[in-house]
Amino acid sequence: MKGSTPHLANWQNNMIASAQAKGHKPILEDLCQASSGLDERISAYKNNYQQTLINWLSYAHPMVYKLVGEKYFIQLANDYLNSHVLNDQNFKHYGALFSNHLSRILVNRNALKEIPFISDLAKADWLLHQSYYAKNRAPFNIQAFSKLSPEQQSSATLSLAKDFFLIDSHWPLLDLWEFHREVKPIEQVTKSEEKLHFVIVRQVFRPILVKIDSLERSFLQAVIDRIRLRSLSEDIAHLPAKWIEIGWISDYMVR
Amino acid sequence: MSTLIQGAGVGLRTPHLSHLLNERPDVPWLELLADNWFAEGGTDLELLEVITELYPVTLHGVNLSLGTLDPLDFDYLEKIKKLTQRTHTAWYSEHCSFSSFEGKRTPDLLPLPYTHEALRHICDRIDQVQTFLGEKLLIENISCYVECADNQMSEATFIGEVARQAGCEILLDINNLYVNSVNHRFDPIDYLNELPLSSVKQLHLSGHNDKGLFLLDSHGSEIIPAVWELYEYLISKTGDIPTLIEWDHDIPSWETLMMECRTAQHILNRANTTAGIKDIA
Repeated sequence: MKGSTPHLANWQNNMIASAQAKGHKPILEDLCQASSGLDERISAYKNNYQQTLINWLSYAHPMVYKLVGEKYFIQLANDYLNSHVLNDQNFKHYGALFSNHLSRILVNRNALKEIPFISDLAKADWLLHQSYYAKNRAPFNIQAFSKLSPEQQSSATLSLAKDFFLIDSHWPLLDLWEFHREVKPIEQVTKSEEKLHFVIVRQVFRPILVKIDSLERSFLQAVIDRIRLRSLSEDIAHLPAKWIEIGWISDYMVR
Repeated sequence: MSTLIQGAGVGLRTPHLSHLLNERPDVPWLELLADNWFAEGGTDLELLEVITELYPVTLHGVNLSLGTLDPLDFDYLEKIKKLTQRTHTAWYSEHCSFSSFEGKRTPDLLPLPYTHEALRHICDRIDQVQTFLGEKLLIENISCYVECADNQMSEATFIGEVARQAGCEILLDINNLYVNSVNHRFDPIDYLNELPLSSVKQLHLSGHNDKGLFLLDSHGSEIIPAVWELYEYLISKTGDIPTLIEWDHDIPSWETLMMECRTAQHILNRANTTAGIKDIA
């Protein structure tokens, strides 16, 4: 390869592959000028790739990090790196599937069998993070809504605030979150027979985790499914006003 | 808010945020890492407003992947555009490098080969970015550990040609220049003499690590004397150029950062005084 005109594509392909540790090292060596410690120099790019992403995963998953400790977290993060190539412009989007990954490997890892809630905890970590950076809410335009005809109002659908996320889990995520924040100790993490429902919302700049009941969960599903106000069942018909007041519902659409 | 950028400023990092907002220290300007300030809501947006009220700022990007053969990401550029409007930044800088290929990425800055093909490509890309943003871009030289065996020109020639052909300006990182001069065995003074210095609008200063077989650009330690000497040499030739202290890892106290800042300012002041004496003479 030396002495011929390099193609930019060939160079870029091999540099990226080497950084992602999936490269054909000899090819990159052929493309580079000979210099002392070429292997170590190429490894510097690989190390930067790994270190930056591991640091990011730990930053975005503080509860999981605290739960398993630094050493084991690095192992888990390395596993994730090996199966998930970075392909997003912004590396801060990397880790969206970390929770799914943990859920998949849960059954094969003895260390994780003792903490079966780790995957749901990772999901909560990630969504708390997303909520922190989410777009600000515009207040629900009550005035405009009140000017709609009764027919239009009843056919309207609602939208959730951008900082609002839902998690269903068999685990007491609220207790785990409070334990992480050192609000209260946790004696035992018990799996619930029924699914528990939680939402993550931003309250005065800080995302919080809140437990909701099954009625509220039904209403939430109706909002997600874009059910018209007139089609809401009677037992949840009072919730729109409450959720608009606390800001969880931020908009409406007349269909 | 003034966009006057003069003297020695610092790159704002999270550990110093509360000190900055509570104490409002005397620092002439700040460089913000653009990629850290894209949030469209929450605390960061509020903080950004306060910071830009208090200090003149510049924006520095790391994720554009300017030199890649992949299509330019105009969604990303739209965010940059929004941020430049929101912050009234004096300018926006990016790196003469690439970070992606066929969708695969690395959160790092990889060197381009210094070939005519790469030169044509990056100049075309800079032209697109400048047209989209409606302003001149500052392009930074990166540190690198490997170089293409088939380079057709030196790094200094490449950067100089990029500035000339694309009509952009240069952010010269003195530490990167020093790191590369050791890693690739060239004389940094020759580099400076080859560069079109009138295009250099900003300087970066930072620390690096000696890995034995090469120098690693770490931004995690004090600036070494050899880098200060190079800086002093450059400033003696050019006069005052806005200079920024970058410290990204093992971030020290604000006071330590300010010590580096004061050293840079002292060198800038001395150059200005000398220039004044020359003018009088």
